Amino acid sequence: MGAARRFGLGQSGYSIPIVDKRHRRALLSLNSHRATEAWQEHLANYKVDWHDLAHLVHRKALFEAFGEHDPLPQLGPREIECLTWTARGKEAKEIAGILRISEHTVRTYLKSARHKLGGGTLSHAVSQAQRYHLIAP
Amino acid sequence: MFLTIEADRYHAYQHLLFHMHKTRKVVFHDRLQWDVPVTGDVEIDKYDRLGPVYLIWCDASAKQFIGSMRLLPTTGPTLLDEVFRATYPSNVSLSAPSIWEVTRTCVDDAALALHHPEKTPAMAFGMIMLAVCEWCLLHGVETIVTNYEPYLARIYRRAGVEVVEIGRAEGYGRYPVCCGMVEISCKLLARMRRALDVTAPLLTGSVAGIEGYAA
Repeated sequence: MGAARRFGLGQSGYSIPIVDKRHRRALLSLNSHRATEAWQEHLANYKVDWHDLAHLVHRKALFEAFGEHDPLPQLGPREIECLTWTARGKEAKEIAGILRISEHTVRTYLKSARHKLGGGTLSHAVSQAQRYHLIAP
Repeated sequence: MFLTIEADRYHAYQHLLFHMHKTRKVVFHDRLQWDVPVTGDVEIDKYDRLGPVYLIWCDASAKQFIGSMRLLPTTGPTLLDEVFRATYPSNVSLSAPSIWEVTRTCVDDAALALHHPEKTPAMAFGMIMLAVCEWCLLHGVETIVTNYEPYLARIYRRAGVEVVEIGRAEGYGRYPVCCGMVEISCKLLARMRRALDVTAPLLTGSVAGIEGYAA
């Protein structure tokens, strides 16, 4: 810990292991000077977003290393449906009503679509999907 | 007790993991007659070599295996993606950091009867799933995907779990195989604890940070 402190590292942290479909592995580590309890609370609020961020960084790192993106993975029919309704301005709750499935199911399909389309925001996923003609413009 | 064993600690629990693979062979190969890779007494597949998290139920001394589930992130290669893809709608699997797959659920009936005679195999399934739910809440996993034969939906429900079927396919064995989604939430945790009559965390060290955790 002493050595870590001399390099400016804090006492708290979180490491996110990454594994992708082509068996590549990576690790994103976060470090903080926050005290343990404050860090745990901070972590609880942002954990899920940081997991997404880790995969986004992984994707960027792959692009830096290999100069090209992995081929776009396939979107399933429900992912396409949910993205299409999102593009039309509908929120998860409304989409759930339209498709007669639960809100959680809609959110899950959208999470999967976001991850497959580069790991960014939902808006980004929609514009990617439109760009690659996966959903109507 | 309930343990989560990650790849860096496999070596410390070799005996438990070995017993798990033996039980898996009995359940999946001998009893269910699934086409699974068996060598001698044990069932081990390629996904075991990807460093999954194992959720193990064992006795207090961690010497006797009772039951287990296997967890893998859907961002990487998974059994559902590669073997059971036909159970997904239009053969396209789901993939995201907060979606994990649960597979190879098994219980050693004799060990269960010995250490927990008050629990049926169905309740044992529920207990391990409850521990999985705790682990998911700790690690920001919001959805579980899993394959199951239709009759298992009832067992899930009895444990307080709503599994939403998103697809199914024939051709794997006697029964169709369903693909289902489970929403992980504090509400699920509360429902399962009520259904299984559990009042304390199953995983040690898992209390802190789980919202709405009051016993």
